[in-house]
Amino acid sequence: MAPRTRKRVKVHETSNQDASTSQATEGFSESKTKKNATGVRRRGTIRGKLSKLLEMPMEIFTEVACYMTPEDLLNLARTSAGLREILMSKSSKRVWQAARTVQGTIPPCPSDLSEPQYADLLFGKGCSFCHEPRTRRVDVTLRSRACKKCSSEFIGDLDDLYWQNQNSLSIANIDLSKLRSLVPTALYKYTKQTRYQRTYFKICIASHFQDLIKKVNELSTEAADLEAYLEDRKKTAKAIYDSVEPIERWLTNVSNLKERENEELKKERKASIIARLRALGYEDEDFETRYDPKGWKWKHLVEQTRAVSERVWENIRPELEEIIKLRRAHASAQFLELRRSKRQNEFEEKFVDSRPQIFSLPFGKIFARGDFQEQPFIDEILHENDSKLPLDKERWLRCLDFLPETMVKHAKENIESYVVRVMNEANAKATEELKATRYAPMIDNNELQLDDPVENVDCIPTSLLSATSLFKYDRRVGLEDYTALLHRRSSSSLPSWARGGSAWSSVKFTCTSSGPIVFTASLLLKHLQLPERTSMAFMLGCGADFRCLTCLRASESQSMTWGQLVDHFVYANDKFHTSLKTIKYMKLQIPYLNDHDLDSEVHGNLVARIPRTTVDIQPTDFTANRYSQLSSALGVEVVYTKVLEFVKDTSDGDPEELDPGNFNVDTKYCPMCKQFNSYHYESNLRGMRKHMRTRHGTDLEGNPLSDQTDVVQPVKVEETEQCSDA
Amino acid sequence: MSTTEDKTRKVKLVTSDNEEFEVDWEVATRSVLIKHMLEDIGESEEQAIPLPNVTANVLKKVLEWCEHHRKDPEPAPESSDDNRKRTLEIGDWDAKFIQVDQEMLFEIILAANYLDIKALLDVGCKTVANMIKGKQPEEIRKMFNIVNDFTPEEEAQIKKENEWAEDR
Repeated sequence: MAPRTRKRVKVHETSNQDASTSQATEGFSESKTKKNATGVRRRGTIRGKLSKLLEMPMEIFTEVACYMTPEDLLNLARTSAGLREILMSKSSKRVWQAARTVQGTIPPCPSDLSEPQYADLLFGKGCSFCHEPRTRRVDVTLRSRACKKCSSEFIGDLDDLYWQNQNSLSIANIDLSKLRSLVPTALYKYTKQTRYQRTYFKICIASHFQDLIKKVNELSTEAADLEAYLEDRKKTAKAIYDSVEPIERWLTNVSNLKERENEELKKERKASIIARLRALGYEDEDFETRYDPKGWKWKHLVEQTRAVSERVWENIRPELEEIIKLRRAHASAQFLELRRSKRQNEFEEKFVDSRPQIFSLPFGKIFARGDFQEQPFIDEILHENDSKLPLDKERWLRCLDFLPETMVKHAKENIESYVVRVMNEANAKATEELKATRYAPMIDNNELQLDDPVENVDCIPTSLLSATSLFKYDRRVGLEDYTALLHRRSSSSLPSWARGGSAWSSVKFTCTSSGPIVFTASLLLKHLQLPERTSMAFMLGCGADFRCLTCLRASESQSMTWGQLVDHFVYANDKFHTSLKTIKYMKLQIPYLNDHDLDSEVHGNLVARIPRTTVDIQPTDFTANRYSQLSSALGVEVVYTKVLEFVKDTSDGDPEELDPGNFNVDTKYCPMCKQFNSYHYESNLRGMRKHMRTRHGTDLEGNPLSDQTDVVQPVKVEETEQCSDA
Repeated sequence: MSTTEDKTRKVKLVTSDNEEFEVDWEVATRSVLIKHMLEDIGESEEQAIPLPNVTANVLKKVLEWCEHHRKDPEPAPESSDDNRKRTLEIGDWDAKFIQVDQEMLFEIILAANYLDIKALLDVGCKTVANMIKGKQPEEIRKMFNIVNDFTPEEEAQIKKENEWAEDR
């Protein structure tokens, strides 16, 4: 075998004494000494650990260098003049190329850069123009990293440079604007509003632009050289632009990868610290940072990428324990609130999950998550031991066992008593108003008393079962009876945000009644020729068989339930009084009559009902007065079929759509109502005639009717015997 | 190409300190150098192969590696190419094997280079490269036991100068 050349690496070796004279080494030694002073144990020395490498033949050194990363090679080349000479020699090119394959899939070295320059671009640190270590992100197009100061000093707006140098070219046949493309530029986004209102600027290294102009001026007399130079610049600029995208993509990938790795390392460190603290007896709450004031070092100690070795743990443990101690004292009230909230959430989750199971309870046993959660025994279970015990299955079943009994009691003591009080007040007002009417129905006050809640829990107060006991619920349209109120609270579908329903204590004020409601209901019973003490059960049994004959005569109208009918008349009377006030306020001379006046003798029958054979309950039958009977006896679960047949009104003769007279049917709005900005619409002439007659006491042309009582005859209703199922 | 007969052959190796090792042909031929020498001397079993650049304790260590890797496939010719993808990963057994002092580490590297055992040379070089990985210049100086012969001005300047020395 041929003997191998043993060229060896030449560097200046040093003794410890020598090393201490180096400025850079001094700093290093100082920091170590300082650490020792704090009592931190010194790590095993690395001094001379690889000194033999420098005695190796060059081929071995090169072979080792081929396994280093470009970043390591950069650092190695900055250790001593000897190593720098070796590594910065073009003969080391293969080492740098190999290093790129060690690091991963680094894009090939661009033609305008040497391998070390490329490595510095990708891995170097510090400003490319000064010694400032903190810089902005590397700009691959400009091949530089700049600190804030140098960025404004050495990097310029291409347009500004162009205007500043527009007269610098000494050559006539070259336009400066053409040279712009020969200087690599990057797009820079301005975050502040500028005088040009531009968002993006093209920036370049100012000296590059000036050098270009200088060179062009130098070559201005040598046309061939100038052309060659410009061609070369063009190629270089293109090569730079072509290299940017893959390098930036690689940098982004590396950055993302590094970020993910760091996150993982942080997670691992945190998990390790938490596990160690748990082993010492600390609990989840002790690791909760949300109430920490600024300045506590918890996150600083925990959220690091460095692994927790025994030595690290020894260092950070006292600080962590101290913070936990402070945290316990500082945020005990917040933690208690947090635990309570957590237990309540657990309760809500379990309650919602159990709803199908709870649905099987009798209808009368009303429930809602909020009601349940307000019960003292539930409160006791949830907040036992300062709410530290999770609401597990066993504890939840303890809650569930009490459910039926608790809810009936709650319904009786809270909901029922409140509703009775509301009804009593409405009845008292209605009684006063009714005294002034020609009907003057009497409401028996004895029936409005609460039943004994202890003796007869299942019994519903009779006052709530009367046909006049209707409630308005918050923003809902229409009125509802007591059973509907219970039904809505107990078994209607609930939106997810309600998580099983609010407590009655927080929503009861949205349930109201009023004197006009009771007053209107009482008068409607009279008009329907039903007893004053008609039960709500009977009215519910009638389904949607009620009609307002005034509206029916005037236009098309659908049948209504009892609640809808009462609501309709309350609304119509309210509207009449409001409109009357407006007419008076506007000082208009418009005849205006209340066609829904239940106390008037003039207009004849105002309402109609189609009696159904399926209503097997007597109007005064109050026997279904127990909560346990609600679901079947009051018919709440029955789905009514609305009977939509129109009752034929014979008082206005034959159809009149064929006889338009002088009335402008195109407008279809009442001309009188329009005067006070009320737009009453009718789809046909017949309806409008009725409206004019009943609302204004005039004919279609607005002429007063001579004798209203002669014209307006009581409506003859063809009552049809129908089944609810028809 | 090795034959079945080759695999049962014993090979004698003599170190620089005159110690003789008798090893299986398959183990010895992990070294390309020995393999070529065996091919040169033909079927003469008694003839010992001198290894004047390797001492007995180093050869013992090298043979331990060859023994463990005796069944490894021969490296593909293209893997010697400089453009091949290099990684710093070392197998578990190799990592444990190479946990030796600096003196022995570089002796192994030298021996692997001399005996032309590419895979072992790689393990040695990767180990050294791994030790340098991520170290700052001052730490590397400490490891190499060398002095910083740059002035502070030069040190600042060389950070900016990264073109080839010949281009400067």
